[in-house]
Amino acid sequence: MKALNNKQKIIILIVLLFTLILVEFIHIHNRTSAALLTAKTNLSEQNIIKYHKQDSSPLNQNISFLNSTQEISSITLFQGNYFVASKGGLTKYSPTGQQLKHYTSLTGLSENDLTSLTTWAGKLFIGTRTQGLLVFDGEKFSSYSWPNLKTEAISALLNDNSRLLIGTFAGGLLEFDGEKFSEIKIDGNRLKAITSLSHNQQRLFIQTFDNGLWVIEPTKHNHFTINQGLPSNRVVGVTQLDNNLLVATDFGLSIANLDQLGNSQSLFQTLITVPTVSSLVKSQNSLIITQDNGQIWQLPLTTDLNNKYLKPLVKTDSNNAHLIELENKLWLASNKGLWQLATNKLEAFSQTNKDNLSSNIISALAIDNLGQLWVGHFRNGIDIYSPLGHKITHLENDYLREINHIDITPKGIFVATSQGLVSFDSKLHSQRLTKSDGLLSHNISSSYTLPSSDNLLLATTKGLAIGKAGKFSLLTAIQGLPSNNTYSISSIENTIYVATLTGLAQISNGKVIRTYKDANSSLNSNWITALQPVNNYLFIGTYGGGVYQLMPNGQLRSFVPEIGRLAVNLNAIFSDNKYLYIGTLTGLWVYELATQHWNQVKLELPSSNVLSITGNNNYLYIGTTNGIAKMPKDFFNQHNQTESTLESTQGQIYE
Amino acid sequence: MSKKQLYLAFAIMFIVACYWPISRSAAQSGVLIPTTLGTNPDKNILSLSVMNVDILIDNQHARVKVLQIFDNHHASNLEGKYNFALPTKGSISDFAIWENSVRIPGVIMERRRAESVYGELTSAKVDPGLLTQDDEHGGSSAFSVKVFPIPGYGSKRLELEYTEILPIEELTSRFSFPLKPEAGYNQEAAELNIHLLVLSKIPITDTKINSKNYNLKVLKSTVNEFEASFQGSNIKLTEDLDLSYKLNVNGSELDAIAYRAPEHISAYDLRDPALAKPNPDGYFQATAVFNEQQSKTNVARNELILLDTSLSMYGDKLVKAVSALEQFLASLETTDRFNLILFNETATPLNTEPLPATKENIAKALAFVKDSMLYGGTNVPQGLLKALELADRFPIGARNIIIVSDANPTVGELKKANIVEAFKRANLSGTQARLFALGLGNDAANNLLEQLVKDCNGFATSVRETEDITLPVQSIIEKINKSNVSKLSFSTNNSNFYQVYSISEKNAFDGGSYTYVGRYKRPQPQATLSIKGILGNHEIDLSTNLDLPEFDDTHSQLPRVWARARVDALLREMDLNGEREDYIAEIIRLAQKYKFVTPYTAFIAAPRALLRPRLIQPGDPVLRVKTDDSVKEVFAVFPFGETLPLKYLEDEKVWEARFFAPATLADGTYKCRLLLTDKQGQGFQEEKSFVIDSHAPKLTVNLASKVLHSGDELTIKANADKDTIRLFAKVFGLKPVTLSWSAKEQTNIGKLPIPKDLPAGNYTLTVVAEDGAYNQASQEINLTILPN
Repeated sequence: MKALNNKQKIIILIVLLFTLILVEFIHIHNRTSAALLTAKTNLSEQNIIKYHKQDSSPLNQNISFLNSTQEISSITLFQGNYFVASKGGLTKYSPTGQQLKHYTSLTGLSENDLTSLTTWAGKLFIGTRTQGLLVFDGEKFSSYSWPNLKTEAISALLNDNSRLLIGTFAGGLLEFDGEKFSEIKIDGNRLKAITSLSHNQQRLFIQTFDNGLWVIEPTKHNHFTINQGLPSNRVVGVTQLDNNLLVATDFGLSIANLDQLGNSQSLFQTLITVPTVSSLVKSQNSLIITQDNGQIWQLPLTTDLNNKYLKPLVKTDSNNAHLIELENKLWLASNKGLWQLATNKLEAFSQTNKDNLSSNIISALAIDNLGQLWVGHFRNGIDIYSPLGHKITHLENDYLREINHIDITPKGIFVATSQGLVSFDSKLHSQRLTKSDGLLSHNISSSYTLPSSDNLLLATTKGLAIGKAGKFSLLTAIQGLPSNNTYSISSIENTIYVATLTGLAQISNGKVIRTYKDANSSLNSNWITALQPVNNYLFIGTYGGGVYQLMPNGQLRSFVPEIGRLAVNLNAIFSDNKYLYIGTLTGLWVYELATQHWNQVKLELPSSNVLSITGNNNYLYIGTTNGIAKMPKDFFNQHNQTESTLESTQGQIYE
Repeated sequence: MSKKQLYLAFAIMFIVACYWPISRSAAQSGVLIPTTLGTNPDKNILSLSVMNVDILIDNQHARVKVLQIFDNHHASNLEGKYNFALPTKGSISDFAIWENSVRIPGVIMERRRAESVYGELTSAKVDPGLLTQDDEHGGSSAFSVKVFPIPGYGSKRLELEYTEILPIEELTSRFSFPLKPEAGYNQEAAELNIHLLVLSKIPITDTKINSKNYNLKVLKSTVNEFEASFQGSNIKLTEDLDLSYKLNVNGSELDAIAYRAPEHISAYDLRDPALAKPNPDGYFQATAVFNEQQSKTNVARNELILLDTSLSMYGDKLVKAVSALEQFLASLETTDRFNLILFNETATPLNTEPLPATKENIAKALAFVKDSMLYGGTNVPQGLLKALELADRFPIGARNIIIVSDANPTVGELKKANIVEAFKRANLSGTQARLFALGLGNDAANNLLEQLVKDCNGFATSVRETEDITLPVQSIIEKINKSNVSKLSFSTNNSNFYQVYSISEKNAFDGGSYTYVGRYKRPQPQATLSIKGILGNHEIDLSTNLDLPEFDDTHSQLPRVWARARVDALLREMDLNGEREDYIAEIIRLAQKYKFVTPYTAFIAAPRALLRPRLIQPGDPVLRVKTDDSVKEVFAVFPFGETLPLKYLEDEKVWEARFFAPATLADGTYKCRLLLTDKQGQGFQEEKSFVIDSHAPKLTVNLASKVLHSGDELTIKANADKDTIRLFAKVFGLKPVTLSWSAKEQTNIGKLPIPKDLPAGNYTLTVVAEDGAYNQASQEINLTILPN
C-alpha cells in the first residue's frame, strides 16, 4: 500500500476533525433540544389545569322551563345544521331556519345561559355563563369544568387547528388539545376579561372587555390599549385591511400599520368616533359596523375612512346587537333574535316563538284567580300567561318596566315598580299611584292589603306608606321603624310585620310596638328581605343571615345551624302550607313544615339565583335570573325522598 | 370755586385715588366672592381652607396647578364668583370644579354655547362652573368662574391649571405666582402648600425666591434642577410668590427640540371630514439665548415718560404708575434729559422743552404728577403723538419714550390697528424714537403695547396690580441703555417647515431669548435651523442641527405651545384687520383640542353626565344619570361584563337603568363607564364609580362598667368597620351621643352623661354603627343606674 503523502494526511486529518466537530455539534444540539423540551414541558406542566368532566343525562321529565331564546350570543354550523346559542339554551335549526330541537339544562346542558360556540375535532363546543365548557357530539352532552379555576363566563371559543382556544372572563386563556387543558399566559400573567378570539394567518387576536387588544405572533406578542391610541379599552372587533390593522372599540375605530406593530412608533390613529360600537366586519368593498342598539353602518373602502362617509344601512330596535360572519354570510345577533344581513336588508332567520318570555330575569311572579301567571321582569314589564302556558299579553311602559312585586288580591292586582304602584282591574285597566297621591318615593318594593281594611300598605325607600289613592300617610324611623328602607310586608291576624334594612318591625294599631334586630334577638343580619306567614308563624328571610321563624310568643328560631347564612332575595318566599319555599343566591330551599326538614333544589333550575316564587295546586313556578322553572308539586315529594339531586351524579376529575 | 380751589380738590381726589383703593369687584387672585350676598370676598362667609400650588418649570415652560377649597360658613346655598388673575402671558390649560366627591372637569366649548348650557344647568340646580376670559384681545389675564351652588355649611373645591412661557431677560428667568389679592382685600389660607420644581437643560445659578411670607424650604439645588416646598397654616396671602434664576451660558446659543406622535382626533374635529384625518406632521421649537456681553452706552439719555392719568388707572394701577415714574426718574443722571406727559382725554406736558435730570427738575416732575388730576378716558393716540412731538425736541441721539398705562383706548381712535399704524408712520417719518411700554393691571392691553414697540426696536412688559414693579421697571431701564437684536429671522435649509411663529412677542435684547415654534412635514435627520439677527453693528447667526423624529413624544407640550402661538397670531391678525369666520373656526377648533380659553371659547365644568356616586345594594341596583339636553343616548358599561342602554324618564329628566349585579360581586367600589351621544352624533365618555355594600359594619362595644350612678358620665368605647360613617349610642329618654375616633385611645369614644334626676333602675344602652349604604349593626347592653 502506497504510503500517504503529507498532503493526503492533512486532508484526512481535516476530514476527521470536521467529522468530530459535526458529531459533537449534533450531540450538543440534541442535548440542548432535550433540555429545551424538558424546560418547555415543565413550563407547560405548570400551566396544566385540573379539570372535571361529566357526562350529562336528562333530568326530571315533568319539569319545564319558560324562558327567552331571543337573546342570541352566537351561531355556528355543525353536522349540516345551524346551532344557535342564547340565554335560553341551544337551538338546532335546519339550513332553512326551521327549528329542529331545543336543548336546555333539562336535556343535557349544564346551564341555559350560553355565550359562545365553535366546532373542533368534529364536535360542537359551547361556552356557558357560569358552568364551564360543554361539548356536544350530536347525540349527547358532556361538560368540562375546572375546580381550581374561577373562569366566570366562557366568553370566546376558537378552533385553532390543532387546539381549541377557550377565552374566559376571569380565568384567562385556555388551550385544549383533546386530552388536557393548559392556560396560556403572557410573560407569566393571566389574560383577563377576554371577549373574543380570532386569527389571521400567524396572528392571534385576543379582544378584551376592559384591557384592550392582544396580538400574539409565533415569536412575539403585543398589547394595545388606550395608551397606544385605542379609543377605548373595550375591543369589539378586529380586521385586517391591506397592511393595516383596524380595531373597533366601543368608542370608535382606529388603525395601525401591521408592519410596525410592536415598534414604539406603532400607535393607533383614530378613524371614527362612534359610541357603543359593538362589532366590525369587513365585507367585499366596505366595512360593516354595528352599534349596540342595532344600528348597522356601512363604510365604503373606496373612500377615506372617517365619519363623513359612514352610511346608515339598516336598523333593528334591539340591544346587544353584533355581527357574526359565518359561511360567507353576515348574521346580526341581538336580544331580539337573529337576522341575516343580505343586500342591505335584515331577514329574520326563523319563526319567533310567541310564548317566549320578554326577558329572562324574573323579579316577581303571581297567579291570578283565573289561573293566569303574571310574570314580572326585572326591567321589561310584565308578561301574562294563560294556564296552558300561552302568552296572553305583554305590558310595558315607562312606569311599568322595573317590576319589584306583584300582589294579587280580591281588591285588584297591585304591581310595585320603581316608578310607583300600578293597579289593574280584571279588564287590565290600570291606574298608577305616584308622589301626587301622597307617596314620598316612587320606588315601591312591595304592596300588601289587609283583609280587614281598605288601606294599602306599601314598602318604600322612604318608609311604610299606609292609605289609599290621594291619602297616604307614612310610618318612618321617627315613629320607630328600624329603617326607612322597607322591603316586605306581612301580617298575622291584626299584627303587621315590616321587613327593613335594619331589622323587623312589629306594628299594631298603626304603632311600632316591637323591633327585632341583631342587638335584641338571635338575628345575625339586620337586613330583612322576605316575610311569609304560615299559620301563626312568620318565616323571615334575611340577606346573608339565613332564615328565621318567629314564634307566637315572640321568640325567634334560627335555621342557620341547618342551612347556614343564606342570602334570601327580596320577596322570594312562598308557602302552600305544606312546604315553605325560599329563593336564594344558591338555589331554591324547601322546608317541609310537617317534618321540619330542609332540601335544596339547584340542578333542576335554569339558574341557581332564585328571585321569585309562586304556585297553585299543581305547580310551583320559580323565577330565576334565567327564566322560570315550572315544577309539578309532586316533584318535591320525590325530591324529599332522594334528598337533593345536587350531588346526585358525580363526574370524574382529570389532571 | 376758583381755578386754584378746583385744582386743589382734584389733587386731593388724586391722592385719595392713589392710596385709598376703591371698592369694586374687579379681578382678585384666587378669590371666591359670595355673589349671592355681596360683591366682595368675605372670609366670614367663604373662607379659604386649603390652597395647594404645584409649580413645574421645565426649560422655561411653566405649568402651575392650583387647588383651592373654600368653606361656606353660611347656612344657605350660595352662588359665587371665583376670580383668578393669571400672569399676563399665562394660558389656562385645565379647570375643574368638584361636587362633593365628584370631580367635574372643565370642557372647552364655544363661548355662546357654554353660556347657554350654564344657564340651563343653573336653572336646574346642577352645579356647573363657567370659566371665561373677558377680553384676550386686550391681553386680559383675569379669569372668572361662576360657581353654583356652594352648599350651606359645605365646601367647594376648585382646580385650575395654567401654563406660561417664561421670558429670559439679562440671562435671568423670572416667574411670579399671584397669591396676593388686590389691595383692600385680605385672604388667608388655613392651609397653604407650595411645591416648586425647576428643570433646565441650560445650567442655572442664583436661584432666588423673592418672598418673605412663604419661606420655601430648598429640597434640591443643582445646576439643572431646583426643588423647594412650603407648608404652612393660617398664612396671610399678602404677597405674590416670585422666583428668579440665572441661565449660565458662555455665549449666544440656539437650542431646539422636536415632537412627533400620532394626533388624537377630537370629537369636534369629526364635525368636519377635512379635519378628521389625523395630521402626522411634527412640531419643533427653537430658542435663541443671546449672550453677546454688549456693554452699556455711556451717551446721555433722553427719556420722555408718558403717564396715563385716566380714570381707568385708579387704585393699585396708579400707585404702581407713580412708583414706576419715581424709579425711572431716579435712574437718570444729571447729564440726561427728560420730559413728562400726563395723558387721559388730553395730553398735558410737564414742559414744552426737555429738562436736564437735575434733582430740582425731578422734584418738579413728581410735584406735577401729584398736582395733576385723574380724569376721563384714555386717548392713547393723542398721548403717543404728543410724545413724538416733544421727543423731537431732544438733542440728536437716542430718543426714548416710556409709556406707563393700561393702554385701553376709550377716547379718540379706538381701533388698535389704526393706532399702531398712525404711531409707526409718524415715528418713522420724523422722530424715530424707541418706545418702551409698561402695561399696568390685569386688564392692560398688552397686545397693543407689544405691537407698538415692535416696529421701533422697543420693549414692552407688564405687571399685575399686585405684582412687585421693581424688576419690570429695571428691565426697561436696562434695555434703554442697550441696542436690541433687530431683524430677527428664522431660516432652515429646506422647505420641510411651515406655520412658524415667534412666541417671543417682544423684541429681543442681549441677555434675553427669542423663540420660534412651528411644524415640520416629514421626519428628517439633522435638519439645520438658524436664527439670525443684528445687534448694534454686528450680525448674530446662530445655527443648530435638529433630528426631526418619526416618533418622539418627550416634549409633549409642543403641540399646545404651537397651537397657542397660531391662535395668538390669528387673534392679532383679526385684532388689526377685523374678524374672519375661518379664523374663528380654527381658533375654536384649536382651543377645544388643546384646552385653552380664548375670546371665542370658554371652559365649562358642567358634566355631560352627572352620575351621583351612590351606594348600591343588591336590592337597589339603579343607575341614574343626569345630562344636559343635548344628550340623546346614554349607555353604561359595567365592570362585570354587562352593557346597558339607559332610558330617559321625562318626568324626572333623568336617564335610568336597573342593572343586575352578579351575586358573586363582592362588596367594594367599582367603575362604570358611560358612553354618551349628543344630538349631533358626537360621542363622549365618562367614568364613574359606585359602591356595592351589602354587609352591615362589624361592631364591638366596650364599657368600663355597666353599673353607674345618676350624675355619672358613661364612657363608651366601640370599634366598627372602616366603612362606618355614623356611630352613636342612645339610652331611651336621653340625648344620643356620637362616638368619634380617638387617636390616643385607638378606638371610638363617646361620653354619655347620666342626668342627676334620672330615676334609678335598669336601662338599655344601644350602640349603632351605620355605613354609607345605611346598613346598620347594633348592640344592646343593659345598664343599672343607682341613685346618687
